[in-house]
Amino acid sequence: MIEVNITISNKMGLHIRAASLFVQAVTKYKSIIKIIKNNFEIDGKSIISIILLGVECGCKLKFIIDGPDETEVLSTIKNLFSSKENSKI
Amino acid sequence: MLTKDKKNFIFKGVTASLGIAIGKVFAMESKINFDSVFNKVILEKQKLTYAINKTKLELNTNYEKIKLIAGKRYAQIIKTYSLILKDHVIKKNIDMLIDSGIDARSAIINIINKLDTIFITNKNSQYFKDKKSDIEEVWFNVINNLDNLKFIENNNRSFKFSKNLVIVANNLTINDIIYMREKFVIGFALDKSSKISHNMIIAQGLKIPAVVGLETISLYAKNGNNIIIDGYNGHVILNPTKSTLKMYSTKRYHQYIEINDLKKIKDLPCETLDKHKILISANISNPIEIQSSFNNNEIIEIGLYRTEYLYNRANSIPDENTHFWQYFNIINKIQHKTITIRTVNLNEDMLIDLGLIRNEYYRKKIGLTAIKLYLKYPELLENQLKGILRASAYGTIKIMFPMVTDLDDLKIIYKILNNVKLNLKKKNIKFDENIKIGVIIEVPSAVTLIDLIVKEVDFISIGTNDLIQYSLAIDREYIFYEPLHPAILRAINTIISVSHNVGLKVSLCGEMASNPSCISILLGLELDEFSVSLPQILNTKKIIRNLTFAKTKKLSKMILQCTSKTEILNIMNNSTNIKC
Repeated sequence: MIEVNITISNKMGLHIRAASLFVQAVTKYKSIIKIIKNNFEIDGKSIISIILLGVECGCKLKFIIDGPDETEVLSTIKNLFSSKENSKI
Repeated sequence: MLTKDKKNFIFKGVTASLGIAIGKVFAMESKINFDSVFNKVILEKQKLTYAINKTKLELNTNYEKIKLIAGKRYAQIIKTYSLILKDHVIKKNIDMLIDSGIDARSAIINIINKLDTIFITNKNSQYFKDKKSDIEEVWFNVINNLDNLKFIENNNRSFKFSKNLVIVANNLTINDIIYMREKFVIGFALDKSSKISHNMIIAQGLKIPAVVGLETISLYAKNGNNIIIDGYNGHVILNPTKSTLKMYSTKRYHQYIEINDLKKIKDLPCETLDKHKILISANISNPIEIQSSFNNNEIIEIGLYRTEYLYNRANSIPDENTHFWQYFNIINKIQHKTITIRTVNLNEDMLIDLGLIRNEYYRKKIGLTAIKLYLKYPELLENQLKGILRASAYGTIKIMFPMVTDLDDLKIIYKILNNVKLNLKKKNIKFDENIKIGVIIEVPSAVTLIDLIVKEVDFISIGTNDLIQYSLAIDREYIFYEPLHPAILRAINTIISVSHNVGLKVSLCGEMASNPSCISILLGLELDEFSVSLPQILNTKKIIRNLTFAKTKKLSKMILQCTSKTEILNIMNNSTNIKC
């Protein structure tokens, strides 16, 4: 199990398009992905959960990844949120 | 509300789309489905799978199409819709409901309505409402595909699809309504919804009579029952007696004749039988609305141009140029007719979207209304006024301020307005220096202070929708919301007579202005301008053309003497009084 904290730096937050890119990127993995915001936990592979979580710019999220391919998932997530790729998400 | 007179079951609701329809009930969501009690769960799940797969297929086709036309970036939205459709959390919840014996359609509706509890979010926030509508849109496609199935099923069973169907349902989606248009549907009777819901605006556009807010009709109406929709009085009659049926057939015949008559009066002047001239202007909420009407010369002036659409889904306050181009374009479109622009009055949801207030201040009962908001964020008004003033060099524009409560409010407005004018002058930008300034009287305090307010402005408009709401402390969705209330009519009388005393014209821009039973009274109170929504213009004109000004004055005098709303309603229920 891996835990990682990420602060959302995209101006619009995790809006619909960004959430869509996120879910598309992670659904192919077997690991369970949980996103935690303010002690509230949601399923990271459920786009509706992410959209309705309402993640704004500056929001601190904790990701918990658990499964056989967790390291790959971690690098995918980090890649998505890295500053270089910021335009993506 | 259900009442019974002699042998008729009468449901009282709110008119959402005018007209009379006589037909047979088609119940959209029958709660009990006896046909499949035993294998119901399996059947419903099969139906759901079919509908979801069909929707997926449709989305894929759309994806390819949009990608081809607009590029991958835009097609991404379809991808998102597919993901929403595949979302396992929502699917799991729907399956659970079906397992408990509910049909697939109701299960979907149930879950969509409970999104806020399943995903624990604040259901009142604009953010949630926006996102919910995206999710709804996807699942409504599934429901639509389910209904296609349902129609086929029904056709094969006892109930035959005939003409003259009146849809009875708890509520309908826009898709439902557009789809039904092809299915010989002639009327709608709904438990929920309101006149200003999008589905009902569509019904108005399609000119299908509709009554909504009937609360329980979907529980009583069965497929094939005779039903009458009385979209003039907001009544629905289930299983009418022969004599009632006959009466409404005659009424419907008159309705056909009336529609033809309406077309004839397009080019006739708007005046009473005794040649008292009245101005009818249009209320618009988005310039798109006027495109079709303009070819028909229906609009004389725009009496209320709501500008909130500019702020809808905006992430920041619209700048001066955005405002200018909007107003400039509309001036060109309507060719030198007067436009009265109402400055912006944002609700709290919009303020959160704009980032002006944070969620924690959320859900004040009334919140920051127009002027209080300008005080806190002057640039909100400054940008708009700059845009309006610049556009005023190219046509006749009047400015109208909403939610004014007292002279202090006016001082704030004038201070900002004068600053903006000064600024434009310094930059040598042309504008109409004598631009007319008015206020909407829609807060009870402004009625009390009307004698002071009229001295500071060029015209007065009465916003009855809010005035009734704040005066009677009642939301406009309730049936108790009654414009023909002695307090309201006295208020209107005071506003008009005080304004006329100082030579100001008065317009009225609420639903009242197009309400057939209010028009004669308003005319008698000497209202100068009726500002009504576009579909109501010809109808209002027709009613006014059949009235006699002198008689309406007498009627209003009599009405002002009334001590209760029952007394007023009794007088107005007598049809000879409406047609004076």
